[in-house]
Amino acid sequence: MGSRVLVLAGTRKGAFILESDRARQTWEVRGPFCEGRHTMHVTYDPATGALLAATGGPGGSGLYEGFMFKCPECGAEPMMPCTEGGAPMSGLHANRKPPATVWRSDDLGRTWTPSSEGLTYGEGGPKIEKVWHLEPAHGVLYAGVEPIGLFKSADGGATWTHVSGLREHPSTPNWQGGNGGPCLHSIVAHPDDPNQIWVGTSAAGSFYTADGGKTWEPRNRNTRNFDEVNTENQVAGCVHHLVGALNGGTLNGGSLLYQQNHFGVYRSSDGGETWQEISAGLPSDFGFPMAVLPHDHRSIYVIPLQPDGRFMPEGKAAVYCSRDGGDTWTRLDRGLPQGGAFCGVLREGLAVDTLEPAGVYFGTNTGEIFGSRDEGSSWELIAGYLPPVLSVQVAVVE
Amino acid sequence: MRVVLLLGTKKGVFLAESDARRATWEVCGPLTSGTWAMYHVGYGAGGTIYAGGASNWYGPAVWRSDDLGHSWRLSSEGLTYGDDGPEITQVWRVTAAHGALYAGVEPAGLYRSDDGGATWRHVAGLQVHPSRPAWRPTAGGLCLHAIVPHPSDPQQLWVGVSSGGVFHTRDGGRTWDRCATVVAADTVDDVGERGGEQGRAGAGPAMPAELHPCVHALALAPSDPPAPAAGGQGRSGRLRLYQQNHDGVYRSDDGGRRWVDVSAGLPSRFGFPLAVHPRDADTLYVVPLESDEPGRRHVPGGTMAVWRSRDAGAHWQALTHGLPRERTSLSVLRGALALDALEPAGVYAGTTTGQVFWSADEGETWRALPARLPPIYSVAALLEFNVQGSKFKVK
Repeated sequence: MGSRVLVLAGTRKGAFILESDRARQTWEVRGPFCEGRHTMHVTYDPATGALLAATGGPGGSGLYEGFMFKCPECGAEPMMPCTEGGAPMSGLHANRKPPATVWRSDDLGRTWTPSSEGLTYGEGGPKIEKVWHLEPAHGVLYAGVEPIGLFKSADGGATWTHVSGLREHPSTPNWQGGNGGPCLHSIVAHPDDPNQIWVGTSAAGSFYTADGGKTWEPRNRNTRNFDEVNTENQVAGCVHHLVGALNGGTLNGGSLLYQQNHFGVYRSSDGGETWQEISAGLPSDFGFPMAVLPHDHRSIYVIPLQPDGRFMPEGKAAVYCSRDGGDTWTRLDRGLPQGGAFCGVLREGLAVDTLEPAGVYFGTNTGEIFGSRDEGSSWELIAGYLPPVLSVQVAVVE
Repeated sequence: MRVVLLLGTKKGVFLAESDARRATWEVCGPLTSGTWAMYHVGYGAGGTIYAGGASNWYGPAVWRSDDLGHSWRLSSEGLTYGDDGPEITQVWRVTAAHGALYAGVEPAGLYRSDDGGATWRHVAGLQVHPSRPAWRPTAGGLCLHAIVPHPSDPQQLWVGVSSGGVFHTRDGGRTWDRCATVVAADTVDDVGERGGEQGRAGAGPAMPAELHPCVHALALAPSDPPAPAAGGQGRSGRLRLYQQNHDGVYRSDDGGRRWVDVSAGLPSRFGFPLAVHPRDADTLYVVPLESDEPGRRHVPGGTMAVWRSRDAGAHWQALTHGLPRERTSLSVLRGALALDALEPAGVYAGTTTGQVFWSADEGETWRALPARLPPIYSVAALLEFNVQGSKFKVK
């Protein structure tokens, strides 16, 4: 049983660590780590005790953040356009974006080692813009990237190899991106069988492999695009977050999954072969994050957003919880701002810890992290004035 | 007297309203669609609100409301460089002046409307300036983000291009002069007589020949109070401008011909916004950031501070009372610092993480609006005094 609780936050300007004890009443903030880069996800590998962070794409305030520096690739001076063969490139300074990188810390955040080795589609392939999600499982590490693809590391993130089977799927030429780009952002590993993996993408839907990534099948049947139900399990769908409830969590003998997508919240009791919408009772079918309690596979959390503006409906912040796998929902807003809360929460921005009662945490694009130590019944602000928060995860460590 | 803050955000226009005491505020929005990034919201004669922005689907446009945001019309007619020109991606600034309306766009260019924003035409003279090939996009793109009208002469206008510099026209936009000369501070009083070259000769070492071309903010100070000894003319008879650029804060007392560095005393030369007191040409405000490096574009040391000078930049004071201290990642963009015209003046700073800090006493004490907004690109204060008719109620 760990004694320290770490809330790991990825932000637009680096990774931060909020630390408390099991009481989770006071929090100390450390950071920024990862050179202040755009940090999509920070997670913890309980098998090794390592922290892992994914950075990439633009850093800081926006595109072309590297403009003030000599370009590491073409050598162009600061304030001058990148060149190729002596001629200015059409996409100015595209090369000055920092590469997609995975960072590892073996001392809970004091020191970090970056690596991008192997995070590439090779000569002629598209450039990898970002790592969106890191998932440790069965002694290896998986990374979901943009453009949509899956990578694997057997050495704790030092070197990466492409799990190429997914991009060999015949549907690949038709894959679309959502507003955030074409990304593989969710990875669900089967707890017992290393060959079974589910991934969620935006916006080519979900896929499943039973052979360790060699072959993949879509897993989208009965999800909805606007009012059109995908009865034929076509490769489509803007999945926002896909989560598994597989630790002893089988319903009717099948693997239990949940997803929040662009058009609703869904449950699958058969490993994604069919989905059932469970949005009824929510104020909006739009939202990004989703989380399941580790000790109760029917307790799930979402944060509905109003589609126009993508912030809390009517400016009133709330998390919605179901205790029955999505059949009914309860609004949880005690301690959350009930006016002027025009803030949003992104797909990785909601997490639960492994304590009982479980802690629930979410981070906003206004740089705030709210926490609950009673499974959502009451909330308080545990960190503010951070950069916009892109991801929240929790680790309970020694 | 009521005051309405006009807030341009990544997700539409928000308003905040208070009375003249400015003790409590009511926030509402988004009044335009939340799918529009509104880089600037300002107002013109009669209290008409103008907003410049773009959406992923529609593209760039100027929005207009004649009823304090209840209803809007938008237009982008004429906002184009033509079939062979680059595509306009964003409207950065909308400024009313002498009956006309100007819009600054990205890629950098100036447009003018003489029908209240319904149709636009390109002020093409700026594009043929000899410096044009050297203009470069920066972190925010290549944009024309500052438009400063002359207080009395409709033919004169200053614009700021990032990264290109400050330009001045005396003929309604046909020809432009680039305002880039830096002189030493101790020569500024008689620089008019001695000329810029002589002034620079006495400047000592390391004086740059030119201003950094990446201007971040440009503002005109109110005209000098009449000096009786000068027969009712302004003290200098000249126009004072201030700018914050990538490499410092500068003042010009001759309409932009010569600039002096007034950055000494600030914790950093880097920052984005700059705002001048509505009645006192010597009082200005900036928000320095720690560094231009990625990940360090936040307030120095993490302590939120608005810096004020009461003597035209000779000395600076950090205003922090009531603002969050240490360990913050707060940052204020070029359009997001403003003053109102009340007495004492209110000061408003909106952050990239959606907080609006406000002071009703010229910066002595601060509080935060009770709202969490999308990233704030621009702030302006509209007074009831500015608005025609009796209806002045946002909600």
